[in-house]
Amino acid sequence: MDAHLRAETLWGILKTNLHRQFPLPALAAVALMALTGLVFNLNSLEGDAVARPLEMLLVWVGPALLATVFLPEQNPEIRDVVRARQTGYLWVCLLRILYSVLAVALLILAFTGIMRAGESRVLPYHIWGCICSTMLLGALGLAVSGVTGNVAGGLMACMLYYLASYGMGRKLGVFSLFSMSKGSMQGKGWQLLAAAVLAAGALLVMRRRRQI
Amino acid sequence: MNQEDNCIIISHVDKYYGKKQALKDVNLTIGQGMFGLLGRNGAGKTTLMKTLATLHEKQAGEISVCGIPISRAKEIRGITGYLPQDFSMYPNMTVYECLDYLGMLSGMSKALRQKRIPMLLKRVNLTKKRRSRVKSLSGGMKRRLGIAQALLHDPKVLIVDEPTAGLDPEERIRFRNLLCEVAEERIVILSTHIVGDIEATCENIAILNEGELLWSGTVTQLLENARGKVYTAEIPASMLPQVKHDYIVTGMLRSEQTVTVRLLADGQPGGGSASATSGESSEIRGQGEIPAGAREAMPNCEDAYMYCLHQHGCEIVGGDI
Amino acid sequence: MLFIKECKKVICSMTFVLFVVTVVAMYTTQYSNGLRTVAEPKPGQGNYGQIIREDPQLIMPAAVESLLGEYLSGSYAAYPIGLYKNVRLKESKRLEMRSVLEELTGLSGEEIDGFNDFSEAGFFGEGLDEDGNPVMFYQEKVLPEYSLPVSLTYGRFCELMGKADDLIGGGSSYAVGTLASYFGLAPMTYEEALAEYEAMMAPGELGRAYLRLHCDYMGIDLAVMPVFVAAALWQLDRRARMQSLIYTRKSSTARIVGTRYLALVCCMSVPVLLTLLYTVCKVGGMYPQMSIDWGSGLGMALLWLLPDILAVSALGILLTELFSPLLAIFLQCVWWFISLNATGLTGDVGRFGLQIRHNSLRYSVLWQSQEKNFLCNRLALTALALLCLGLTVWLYEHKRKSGMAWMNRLFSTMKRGNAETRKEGEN
Repeated sequence: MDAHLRAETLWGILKTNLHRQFPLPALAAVALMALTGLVFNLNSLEGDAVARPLEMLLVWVGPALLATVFLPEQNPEIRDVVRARQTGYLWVCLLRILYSVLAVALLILAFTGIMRAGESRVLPYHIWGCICSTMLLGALGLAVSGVTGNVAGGLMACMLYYLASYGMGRKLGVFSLFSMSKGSMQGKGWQLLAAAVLAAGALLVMRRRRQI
Repeated sequence: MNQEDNCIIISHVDKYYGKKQALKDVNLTIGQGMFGLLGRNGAGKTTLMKTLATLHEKQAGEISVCGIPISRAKEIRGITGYLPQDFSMYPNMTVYECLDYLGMLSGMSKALRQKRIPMLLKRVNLTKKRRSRVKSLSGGMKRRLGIAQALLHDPKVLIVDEPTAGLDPEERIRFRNLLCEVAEERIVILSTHIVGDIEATCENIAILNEGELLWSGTVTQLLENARGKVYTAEIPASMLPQVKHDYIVTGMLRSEQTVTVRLLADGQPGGGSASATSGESSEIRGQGEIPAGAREAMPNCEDAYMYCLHQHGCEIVGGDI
Repeated sequence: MLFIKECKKVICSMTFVLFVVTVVAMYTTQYSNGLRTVAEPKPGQGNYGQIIREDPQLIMPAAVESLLGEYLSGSYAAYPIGLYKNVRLKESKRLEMRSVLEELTGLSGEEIDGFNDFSEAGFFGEGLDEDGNPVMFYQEKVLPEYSLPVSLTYGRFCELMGKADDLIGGGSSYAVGTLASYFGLAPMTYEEALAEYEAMMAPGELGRAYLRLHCDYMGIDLAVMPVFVAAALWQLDRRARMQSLIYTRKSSTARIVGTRYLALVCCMSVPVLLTLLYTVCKVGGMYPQMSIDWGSGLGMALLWLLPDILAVSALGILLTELFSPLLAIFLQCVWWFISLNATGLTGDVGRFGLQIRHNSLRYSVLWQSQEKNFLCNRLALTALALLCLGLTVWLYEHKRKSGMAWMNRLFSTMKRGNAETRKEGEN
């Protein structure tokens, strides 16, 4: 396949997926964002209070967008039809992961923008930390739902991790989802690294098991 | 052109699912035209087809598809069309969108897709349904969409797994004819346990049982193999259980008092009716003497298939349900 | 037997395994690892904890000071669903709040608004010392001088506080029901601490105290986790395209749905019951000299935890049958999140709602005052479970008889209705 045709193919796949796969997870993510705005105060926040809406609720945008990456092909017959094509299913998944990650970043930027407009003192680290935690929770959902072929299981793993962070506090160290709310402004980078390792590991396992 | 470029060569292929061996040292050469894979459920047909479609990995042996080793999955996928047993597609997509998307995944240019999709929709008689969502299609329509997607990128090899299961007779005949038409210019591998489909469409066949290749050759050879082993007899209805116990019965037609049975037997025709009528069963089913009045019949594909299984020592499960 | 087969299906599912992992993880990390014996208070110990007193002499000055401070700062803290909300009042409401404060403090509106030296309490910096370290000092809250009017009765005070809470929009610390818990906190005396300890050591009460804390932690888990198991299991038929095969069986819908639901509930109850038994053994071992009466405690624990499993599972299967498993999970998670944050840590038992909290071995008197609410809450949750189960049976029966035709008809009627409305609008 020449480069032009490959680019045209990828662009076409991207457009179709944005049209058909993306809207529902995106709607769920926007609903979560709206819910965060409804249940938390977003105005005139400072310090730890800024991190609370971001870490306690907005992080679920990650599972909404990333744990649902494999949802359209959860039916093995559909997956077989897609896998039997020349452009590997892996490429489709990578494209979906890519735009979901971008959507996570954009939603968080938009949300923190709203907070700033409400005179909350959102620091760059709050945005960075929220993106890292969201990615970690999302990557966990992606990994479990991909490897087990069960999206509900993926979301359940996310809830398990969320509860562990909720209950264990600092015992999870740099992997605590709520570290910023507890005053720590470092170590979130590890979460992003863990997210990347989880997602790559899951894709590798799925590749080996011929799921993608 | 090299002979290898137009055929699939499978040599000494093994495939395991955990400890269970799904394919055992399978050797087969499949040339152009319709090729039928016959076998019971769980015989390994789907496994072999998925392996050919690069969806499964083999553990041992060699496969080349039109001269390309199976390890070069991307190239193989470029020349192979696959229709799985239970074809399913994204339910919220329209028929056209579905084909367009799968065409993209096959690396087809937009111009080519725009040319081939309407043509294929016309060929499978789905033009009027092009804007309908996949979830609204009937079983037969879905299957036709399935064959259209498999043919979309004009593959040299078409792999169709039990395509007629669940279709009504009219739809089945249409589907078989369609497959025959497309087989003129490519290799079509059809797996089924409906022997009638094979008889109506395939020239060459292979029979699989428990992962092993039992037999391969032409349909004529299979029929020839069963010649002289098929009989029809009219027996009293009360004798039916005994006959079913003693012989492999491949068909029966009940009237009020009697039953016309079609059976397989290795015994000599014209013999006595001792075993069947006296109630003593022969030790090996189908090896006993022929019931009185039995007439030799021309074997059909179903008879020949059953005889082949029996000949290779496969247990034929009979009896009433 | 159908029930056994359904139980096997539940137990072999991945979501159930994850459920067990969550229950065990929650139990060990939050509860069993931190279990300690309750020590008898000693005279002169210094700190015996705090107690809430419904004492106007305590509540009134503290509440007025807080409200005046918030008025002068221009922002009020509220927790409408348990999460902090910073409320700023519009001019009309600010003036109403000022009139409330006029009555509470005896100051005039001008005196209040004209006070410019207001300062929040806190640490403030004052340059650097010789070594370059910041010098900090503590500043008390600075408010205008006032005294509570002698004529102000506690009844009138409560009315004014209620009005202040309404102006803020509810959920503030001035709500009449929560005034004592915010402003009536006082240190416990030795006598009070000893009385509480002795009450706790009364027959049956010790077991109840430990099991209450057990249920507090487990309740968080069980208010959400069963939905994953229920939704995943309920969609198995759909995924395996088994619906038509099951629809055509002889069994009645009530039997099919009921057996499955029962299997779900029973299987999920087993790990929960095992943790309860483990608590009984562990706490029993911690007090070898005492014979603890576990009867009423275990009854309370079952009444606390089982309705959670019943309701969350029933709602999960109803929403899965009606819409999709993911929507069922999403909605349950939202309900769980809101109720978890809207519930106070100790002795917060609403008559209705998903979550009950009592995150302490102590305050049994507070708990006892909430027991009626507890009973009402759990019965309401059980009723919700039965309602959802009934609706699921009804829905399943409809699908069995006519597929989703009735739903399609409903949606097409709605669409037609909308189209007609649009047309009328255009005309």
